[in-house]
Amino acid sequence: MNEQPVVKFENVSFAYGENKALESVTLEIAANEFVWIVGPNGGGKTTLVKLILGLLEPDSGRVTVFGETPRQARRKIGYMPQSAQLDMRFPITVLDVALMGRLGNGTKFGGYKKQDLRAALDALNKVGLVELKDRVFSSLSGGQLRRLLIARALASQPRLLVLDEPTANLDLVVARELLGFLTSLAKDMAVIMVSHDPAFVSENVKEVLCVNRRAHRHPTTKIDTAFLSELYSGDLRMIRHDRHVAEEESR
Amino acid sequence: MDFFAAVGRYPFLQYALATGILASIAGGVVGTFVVTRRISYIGGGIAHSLLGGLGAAYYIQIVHEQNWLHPIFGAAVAAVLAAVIIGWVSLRARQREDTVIGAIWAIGMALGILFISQTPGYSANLMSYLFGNILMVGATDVLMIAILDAVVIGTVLLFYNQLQAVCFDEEFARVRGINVEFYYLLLLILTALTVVILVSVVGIIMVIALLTLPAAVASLFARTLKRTMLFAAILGIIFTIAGLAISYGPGLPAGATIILLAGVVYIVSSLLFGRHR
Repeated sequence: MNEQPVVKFENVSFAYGENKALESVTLEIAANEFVWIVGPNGGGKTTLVKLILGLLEPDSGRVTVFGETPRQARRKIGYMPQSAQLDMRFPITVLDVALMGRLGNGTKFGGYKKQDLRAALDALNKVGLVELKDRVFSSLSGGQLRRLLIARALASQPRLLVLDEPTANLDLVVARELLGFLTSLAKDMAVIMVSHDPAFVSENVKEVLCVNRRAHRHPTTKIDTAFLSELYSGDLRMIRHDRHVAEEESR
Repeated sequence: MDFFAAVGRYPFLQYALATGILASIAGGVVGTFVVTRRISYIGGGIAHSLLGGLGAAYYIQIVHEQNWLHPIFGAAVAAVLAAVIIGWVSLRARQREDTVIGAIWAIGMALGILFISQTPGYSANLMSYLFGNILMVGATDVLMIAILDAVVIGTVLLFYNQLQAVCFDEEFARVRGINVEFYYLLLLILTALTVVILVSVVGIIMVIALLTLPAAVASLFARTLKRTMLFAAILGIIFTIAGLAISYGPGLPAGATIILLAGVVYIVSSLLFGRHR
């Protein structure tokens, strides 16, 4: 079956001024795939995500999402940003945050509709926060906050879920639980998750996408401490990283 | 209680009360956005720059005998213009936003001072623009403030969800297909119109306090944006009425009294309740 890829990068490069963030990246992500993006800080992970979301335009090459431009495809994308960029003192309830996922679905102005409320409650229910719907945003624990942001993304009923550092600063148990939930979502949609913290690679993840200016896929079976130290160290070992890829491909 | 007895007798006190209440409603609603979106410095720049418009309109009104040209029109035009310029710069060239705000702030004031200096008559007008003179507000002013109030509140009601989303998480709103630039500019224009309203209460210099302090106090207690707006409006009404009442007897400047009252409540409540998240 020749299904259309969810995300397609064709020879994509992007630079912030002189700083090359991504160089000739070509990749495809299929429907119902769970893709884990790993790589060092400043390696281009967030740039890759912003290109998928259409928040950045590539300098060269082409990004398509569901065969459309990222901007056209936005309504099919559920997005969970890094939670550190939110103002924790913002006066807002859990339900109001989840409802934001419904923006852009209907009319330009006025209140939310019944189906918006239903979708938001449904999403909160999925992440197990529906009982806390009237709680203040600032009273949530770290794990609850992540689940709320996932619910907000799910409220838009996406076909692609993009998550930026969903497990950052969570303790191990909570992070594992969250990852278990995320992998279960991949039954219904494609999931792309960024994490600079590869310690939690779960057994459900078959492949990781390593981004460090270039992007390569690796089966998780190949991931061991040697591999990780390669990915997270300097230039010298980057050469070995490339050889590693070549070995995999020759198999 | 001689202030409240006097309100029944003197129309100028009734106008002052009406102005205080109308200004507090718009101030509470828009001030909440300004505080949560952290753009009070932009509000300060807009407030000061509107002296240029006030002065120009005042000059044309007196020197060229254009009686229809109420200075509040000039203030509104200048404030909106300043908001659009600052907004455009902050969207296009983020790194120099503060310099531009400072420039607009000072250029507007300089223009205003020049125009007022060239206008024969009361130079006392400059003082009342700078420090406010709510007791000088007339029936026409109240009408115009009411119209501006209706425009501000109506716009917020119409676009509440979008404005909330843009203030809470701009990037997410953008991914949802919200025109973030449009709503940011809209918010700045609403801030500009609200500042024009508030200037008639406390003047240009102190306006930023009346815009932000009620919302800052309210946000310590309110659980949602809507309730913050409601509490902020109520607090603003309390501050203005109490400030008027306290200042009336001894003949103190009303604007300064209102601001001091708001400032004391803000500091005390921040110290008592500001720590817990």
